[in-house]
Amino acid sequence: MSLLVGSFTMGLILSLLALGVLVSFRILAFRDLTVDGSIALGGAVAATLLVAGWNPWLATAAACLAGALAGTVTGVLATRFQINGLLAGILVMTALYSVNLRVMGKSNLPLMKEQTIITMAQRFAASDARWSFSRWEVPVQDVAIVAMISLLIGLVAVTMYAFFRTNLGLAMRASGDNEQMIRALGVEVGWMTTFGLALSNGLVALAGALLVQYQGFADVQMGIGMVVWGFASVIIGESLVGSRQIGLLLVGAVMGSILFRLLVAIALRWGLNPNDLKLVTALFVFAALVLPGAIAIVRKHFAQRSSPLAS
Amino acid sequence: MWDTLKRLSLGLALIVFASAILLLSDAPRRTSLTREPDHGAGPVPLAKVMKVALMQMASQPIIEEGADGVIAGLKEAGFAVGTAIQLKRFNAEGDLATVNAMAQELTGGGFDLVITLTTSALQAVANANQQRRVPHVFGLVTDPTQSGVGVGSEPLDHPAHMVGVGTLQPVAESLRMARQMNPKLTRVGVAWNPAEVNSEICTKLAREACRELKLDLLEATVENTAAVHEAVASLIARDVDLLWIGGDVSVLAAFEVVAKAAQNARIPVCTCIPGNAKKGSLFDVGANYFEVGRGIGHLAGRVLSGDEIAKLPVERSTPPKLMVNTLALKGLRDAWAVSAQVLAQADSVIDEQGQHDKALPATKASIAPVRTTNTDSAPLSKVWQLRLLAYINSPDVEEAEQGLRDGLKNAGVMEGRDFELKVANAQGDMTSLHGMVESALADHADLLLTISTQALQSAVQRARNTPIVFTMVANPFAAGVATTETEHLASVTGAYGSNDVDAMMPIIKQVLPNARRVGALYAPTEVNSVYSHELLVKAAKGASYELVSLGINSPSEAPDVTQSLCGQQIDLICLPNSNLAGSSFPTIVQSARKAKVPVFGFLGSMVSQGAVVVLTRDYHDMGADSGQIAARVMRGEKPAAIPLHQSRKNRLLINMAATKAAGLTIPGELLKRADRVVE
Repeated sequence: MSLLVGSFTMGLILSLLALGVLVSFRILAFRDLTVDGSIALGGAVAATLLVAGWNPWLATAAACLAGALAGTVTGVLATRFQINGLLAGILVMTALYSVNLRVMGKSNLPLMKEQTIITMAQRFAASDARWSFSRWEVPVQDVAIVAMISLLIGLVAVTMYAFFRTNLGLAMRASGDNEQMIRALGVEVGWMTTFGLALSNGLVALAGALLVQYQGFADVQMGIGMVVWGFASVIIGESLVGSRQIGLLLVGAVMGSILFRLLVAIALRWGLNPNDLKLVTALFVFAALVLPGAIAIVRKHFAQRSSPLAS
Repeated sequence: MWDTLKRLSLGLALIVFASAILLLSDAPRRTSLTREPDHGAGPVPLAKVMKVALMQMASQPIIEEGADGVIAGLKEAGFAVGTAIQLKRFNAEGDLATVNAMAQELTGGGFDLVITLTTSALQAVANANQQRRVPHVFGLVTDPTQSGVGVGSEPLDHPAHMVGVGTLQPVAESLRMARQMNPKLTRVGVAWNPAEVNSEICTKLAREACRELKLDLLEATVENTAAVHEAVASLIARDVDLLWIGGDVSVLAAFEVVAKAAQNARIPVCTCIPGNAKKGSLFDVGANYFEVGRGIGHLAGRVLSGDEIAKLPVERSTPPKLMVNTLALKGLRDAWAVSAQVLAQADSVIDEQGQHDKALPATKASIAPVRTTNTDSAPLSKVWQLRLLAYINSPDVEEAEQGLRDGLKNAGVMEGRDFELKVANAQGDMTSLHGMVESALADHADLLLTISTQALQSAVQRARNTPIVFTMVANPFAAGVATTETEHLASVTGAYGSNDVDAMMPIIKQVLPNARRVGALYAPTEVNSVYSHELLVKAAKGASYELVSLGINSPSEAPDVTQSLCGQQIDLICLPNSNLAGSSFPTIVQSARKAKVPVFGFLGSMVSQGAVVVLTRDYHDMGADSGQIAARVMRGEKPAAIPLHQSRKNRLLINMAATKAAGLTIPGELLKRADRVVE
């Protein structure tokens, strides 16, 4: 049971990454590879500040700001210097690698004794208390962590939903959907893109900050390959909800991320050959992408058969 | 609203479905979880099949080698996979998110023990295991203290549920060896990836070692394997004499590129990871990861058999492995040479004829004094299985081993006809020493022969009924195996002899008639050394010398402590035996030489390394005595009835070059007495 709770926690933390990718990839239609760097940046900044004795919330907020700054740089490179978006992201991601090493001063920073958001959540429960659901036991502390993270993710998602319904948010969505139209309306598309990338990478860095606190150490290589899982979660989520309505997209991305971690956990639990793990996860992503389409076909089939009766 | 819910339903259903699968897979586990507290804290009964998880971070040759070692070590400790334990392997393939999920799975309660290999795996499991207290054994970690999991620098300073082995690459040794092969070496180039913790630690060590050896270390950083070629090219352009690779995985992955570039520039490559000599490095000095793994396996075995983890020390051990490729010497720009001594030390040598593992048994035209030979002795009733266990490899140990063989031969027992002798050497690593004893016992050895105090103690601890004959032990009384020469442990006997400090005093008087103050370095943590030092204190008092003693705790302290000793107006250093003084002797003698202080020692190997005078026990002689005793045991005498034999024969060795460097002259009569004079 603790594996289940653990994968939920992991999925929720990484759903911030998915939400960040959602903003750049789906809303702005910008393929942003800064993500690999900014998740590690968030982790590095948060870990360094926590070791320096900062309040965990402040450290996490600072990590988020650092990520937003990285996104801003990508945005400026792409819009002011007219560098291809993919390349701008790669440039910043590469540079961040050195920045992260500088920030931490070394390549791996452990956080075993520091107070973190996670330890704050743990303090709500006694250290050895367990809850039992028909003999499936789970440490209460783990539940406290997952509750705290859910609350945080919920807050972020609701804020994002509200933001994308404001004028500014609508303008941002429009600059991704139809650049010429929104430019004609007098909106500065370049700044809008830059702002969106800042928001996106801020979210990604927040994921990094939480991840570091949850796993107990920051590592300069922790970002490698993350952007792929971000894309995967967004696309899985989108095909699950089958809609591009903003609220549904947000929830879909979170669901996609959780589902993905659950599938990895099942693969682990069933004890497959370790060498096959990556192949199997790729198959899971494939299945998750195809399944909704297949369901839609089946539905249509039934709808066609039942429609004559209805009329 | 309804539409929204409908659209979310598929995702929610899938999540619920996946969760249900996960919970059902966990179903067998929940019962065991609720029952567990009833067991109490007592040791786990051995009858049931234990579940052990082995988790590694990625698939790399050295990690795989370590994992194989763990499985072998577990088997030797009595926990064969498949019968005594059920082993489940996890491999995160380098993905950090997966590592965390695995850590959750491992610490969820289904396993009796978790073994992790590499630092990241250690950190992830340690973090997930903060409350649940699944016993955890870790390994293949360069420095457990720096990984921040709560392991301190003292061996017993670790959380009560985790213990393991730290393995530092022998960085300084590799550079020192390179210096030995080419004394003119000045510029060393290293390409490394700052993202790798291990590589970072290695590079830091290399910087220190280079400062000590007065080498210039030129660094080029790489971010991944693709960048290696350029980094190496830039180093070569900066005119390095040698390319050195520490534990860097990225650079090692592109080793062929490095070797090719070095070949074109006609400079050699050396590494700290064994195995690259096959691909063209001149030599590799590194940890033997299989042996490291075995040590981890043994440790895990002790945890499984119920030993309290809090009382097990976190060991730091680097069982060395040396590979030399003499083919790489061809066409080099500078004068590189591999000495016979290095070849003799090497675990494997590659030359025109291919690869030779476990070097040529050095052509020993041994100095065997012929003893009472009675070759007409009758064959024994059975073929005895003898196991020779040595702690460390040094010329003295080799002499003792040769002595043992000669002693057995001279007592009329023949190898092949009367006994089979297998030799194992722990190469200075405690953990493998234990393993060697265990495997000798598992192999049904009839008699154990041990060289050095550590080997004896380790054998005594584990072998309850097998007879043991020891040699090269300074003080069996301090080692706890005897109270007098006739009263000793029933199954243990042998020959001993410590450094003859009393005989040394007159020699000092002859060489340095005006000397007043004698300096001494000893290792307070070694039983042997403390004992030898006490003898020295007495002898110095008798010869009315003033003795200034300093303790030394680790090889890295050696230069500083020696310098501060030399700063106390001493006329000479007299070095009582200790393993530490033996292994860090080159640095001690270097610091002493700078202060123009001559060094007198008691270990044969020290004379060629720069000691002025060495008065060593004749270990060949001592070995031969033990060989005779062993033969008596094989002929049916009870070890308990054989008194310990004190070996008194000395050998005087003099180094003329060191004598001149210290501005001394050796009186003619002393020179005449010398058994060996090194020019």
